[in-house]
Amino acid sequence: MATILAVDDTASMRQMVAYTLRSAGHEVIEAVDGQEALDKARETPVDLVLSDVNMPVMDGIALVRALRELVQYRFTPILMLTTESDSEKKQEGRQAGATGWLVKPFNPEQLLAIIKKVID
Amino acid sequence: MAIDLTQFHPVFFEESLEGLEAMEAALLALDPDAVDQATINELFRAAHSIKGGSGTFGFAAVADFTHGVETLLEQVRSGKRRFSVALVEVLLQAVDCTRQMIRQLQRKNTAPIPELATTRQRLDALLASADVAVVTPEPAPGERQPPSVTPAACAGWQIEFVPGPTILRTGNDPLRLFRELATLGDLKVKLNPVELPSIKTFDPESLCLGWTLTLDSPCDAAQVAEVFDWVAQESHLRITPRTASPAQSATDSDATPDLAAAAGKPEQTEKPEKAEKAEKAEKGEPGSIRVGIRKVDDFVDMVGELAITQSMLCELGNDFTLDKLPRLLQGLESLAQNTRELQAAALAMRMLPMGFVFNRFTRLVHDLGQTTGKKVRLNLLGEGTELDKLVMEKINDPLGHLIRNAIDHGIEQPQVRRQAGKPETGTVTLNAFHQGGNIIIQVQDDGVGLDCEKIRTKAIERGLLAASDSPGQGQLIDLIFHPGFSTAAQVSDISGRGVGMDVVRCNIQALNGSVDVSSVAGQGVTFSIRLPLTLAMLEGQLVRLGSQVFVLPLMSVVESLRAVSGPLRRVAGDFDVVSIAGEYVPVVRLCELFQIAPDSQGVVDTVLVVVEGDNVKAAILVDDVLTQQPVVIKSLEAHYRKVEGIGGATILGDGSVALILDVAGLLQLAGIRRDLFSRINANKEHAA
Amino acid sequence: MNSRMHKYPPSIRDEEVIAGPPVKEGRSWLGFFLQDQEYGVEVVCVEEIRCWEPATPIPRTPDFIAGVINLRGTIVPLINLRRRLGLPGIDRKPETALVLVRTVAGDSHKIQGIIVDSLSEVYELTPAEIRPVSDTTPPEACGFVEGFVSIGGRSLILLDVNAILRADEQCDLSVLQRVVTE
Repeated sequence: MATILAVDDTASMRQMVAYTLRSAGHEVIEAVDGQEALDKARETPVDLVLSDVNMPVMDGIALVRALRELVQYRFTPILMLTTESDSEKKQEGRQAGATGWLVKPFNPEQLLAIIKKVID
Repeated sequence: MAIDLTQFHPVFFEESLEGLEAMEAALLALDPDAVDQATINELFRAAHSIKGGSGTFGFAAVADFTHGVETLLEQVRSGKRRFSVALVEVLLQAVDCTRQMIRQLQRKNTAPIPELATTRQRLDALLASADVAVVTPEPAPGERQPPSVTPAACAGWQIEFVPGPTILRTGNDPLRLFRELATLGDLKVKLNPVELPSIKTFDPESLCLGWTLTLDSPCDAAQVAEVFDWVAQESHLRITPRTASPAQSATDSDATPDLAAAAGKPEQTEKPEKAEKAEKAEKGEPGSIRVGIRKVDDFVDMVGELAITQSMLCELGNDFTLDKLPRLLQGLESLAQNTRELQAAALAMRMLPMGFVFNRFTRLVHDLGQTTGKKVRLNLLGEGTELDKLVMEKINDPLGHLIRNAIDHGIEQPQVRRQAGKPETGTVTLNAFHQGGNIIIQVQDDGVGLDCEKIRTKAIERGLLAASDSPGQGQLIDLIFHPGFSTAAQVSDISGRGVGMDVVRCNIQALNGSVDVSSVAGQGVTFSIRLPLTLAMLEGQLVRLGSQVFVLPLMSVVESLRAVSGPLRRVAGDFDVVSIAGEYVPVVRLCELFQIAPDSQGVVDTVLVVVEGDNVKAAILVDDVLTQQPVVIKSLEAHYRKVEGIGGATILGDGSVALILDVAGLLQLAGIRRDLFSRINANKEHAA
Repeated sequence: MNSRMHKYPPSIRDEEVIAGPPVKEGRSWLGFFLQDQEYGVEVVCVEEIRCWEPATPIPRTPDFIAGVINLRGTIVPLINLRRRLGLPGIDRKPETALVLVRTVAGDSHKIQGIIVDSLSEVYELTPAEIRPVSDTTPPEACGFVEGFVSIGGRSLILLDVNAILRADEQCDLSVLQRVVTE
């Protein structure tokens, strides 16, 4: 099972994601914005990052860029949680170095299916 | 594994309502001509979160409605639309509608929301308006080959895949893609012949390989394309049906998303909202409090301290000998200290800054300014002052009423103000500060002030005052709190419907608080509300009557006097009075009221506790005054019922129960009316 | 809380009842004395039994409200059941007991204590053993009596304690004195 960093400023979404991942047996670290996520990722190595895009302080795109700068996160899967309306954001995220995305709204089953795609 | 999403609903509702509040505050504060990007981002984020959450948690109607709001804000954010007063108004309406929708979901109420349709229309009209430069989705930079897909399903697929050289750096891995493809059917992977770069230029992080894959599967092209969704943009990808002759591959870049959408992209898992039964849930869930992690940490630390003290005491108790007495006393001392701190920390968790309440009134002031045509500014002070959440919720309505009054009756029309040499824009100030164990909340306006002559006329009209009475200004102003008294010359839409200040005072008294008013003609009115910091505890004055101990809220106690000898003066028929500092104060014989046998029959040896409730003073006759201490307020109603004159109960140090007296209720019970004694004292002043 | 909740003690959940051994058809009743009459209240309503303890009187309440006690931090009223039924009061004896009863109305429950002269025992009674109220029972009292039972020459009046404690304080329950078991 993997250690996953779940980043979302919206508490209900973050709790849903964390709860779902934990029920599937993963270790979950939660963060409310990009900065907190970055700090926590530096502190504890994680196998996967799931991040919202629109967040205060540091948004998801900036988080991806910052993580890719860190040597230990150069190849770590990073998935953006984004809405359909964010097609530009998807590409922006990809260019920043995100692995892929999961389109909101999603249900727990879809979340777990997508996780399977990126962790062995 | 089925995960019950309803467990996240309360959090979603709460944060959405908070988000809406933040949006409202931001919208009210912004100047359409000079909006800063931070505000726009904040607005967008709030709308975005509500939309995303409502979609995820199955509230399709909210998601659909907020989508329009989000789109408008996105256009503003990306500079495609400009803020206007009209846009702000529509957004404010949309915020109101969304709030109602969320509240209804919270209460499982399905009544239609009347404003929804019109707001929706206005949103749609704006969205359709030409104010915005039409957003054309820019085709992706055409350098790379867009993925080519043949729509028809067939026996299998041949996939040419040459990933972009950088895909490893985004955490993607061709191996994973192949593994996923293999779940669709039988997969054969063949490496294309490659020309590897020389060792000097070789970069292990760049991918320079390409593959030809054959997938034996009845799946359709979209399922195949979806596997490559994340990397399609930067890779060369060609998906052709295996049986078919060299494909007539569609080179239409839209094909991928369309197909993907058709082929089971995440669907909204929504159940029709109507299915949610309209239960009677008006009381709603027991409220929750969001507590800062710092406060919780403090609390946990203190519990740790307590555990240490406990184990120390426990150890002492195991084989106690008298020589360990100092350590026992020391242990008990720290136990007392721990308890005090724990109590304070527990109370701190219920505390919220006053800003929570104050900010809600920005909208009210904005709207009232519009309806009355007056220019009003809301000035907030002491927003950081903390107050118990429960008290805060209950003070909301009285404050709203005072603000309405201030704008409706206090603040003048701009031209009137100009003639009076005042700035055209009136100011309503909300202020909060701590004083002793209480919080003082002030509502102040710089308007016309109370018209004492008018109050007097009205009071005489209503029989509250005899024509011959000449009460002091304070007593006169106090009459506005009398039931049914309203100074509005005409009943207006906003306030002045007769249910006025008396209701405000009642509500505040129900919180063990009091309200005072002062007015300066031409300069404005100030209402000062004094409230206990919490409803969970109060500073109590313990008093004894016969064998029973009662608690008086210290906040209501003015002073305690050893009773003077000699008979009390009997005036106004039924009341004994004492003269204290030249003022006649009615005496309440608690023993008679409560039918308790007192120690002493006469007045001698008794104590007079002078209290003030409902802005009238009284002296309560008790046998003895004991200590002052903080007491935890326990409800009598939880398992019994409300009892007149009793505010609740508490548990004393010895485990026994003591009743907490409700001073205002007690005075009412004793038949002491404010107007009666203000008249007695007024007449006395007059005679003197 | 649904209406079934108070049919089982709070510690037993519905599933357990279904899954467990078949529930005995009968119900348990706690017997106690007032004056010389033995009464019964259903055990599922009983939260706990305590020795008598002094209560803090509440002013301006009927005389049968003995006051309030501190039940582990909760303020709980005590009802002097003798006085409630209009019987003459007596001095406290060592056997005097408090029966703390849970009453349910709608969504809320209340814990109230009743003061009884003494406790007798717990009876398991099947519906067949319980005689319903008959014409000999005053109609005003019917709502407060669940039935009668005779055990070894003794006759018990089975009370609907929920109805008694929920009754308006102004409501005169002395009519229960006229309830006869035969």
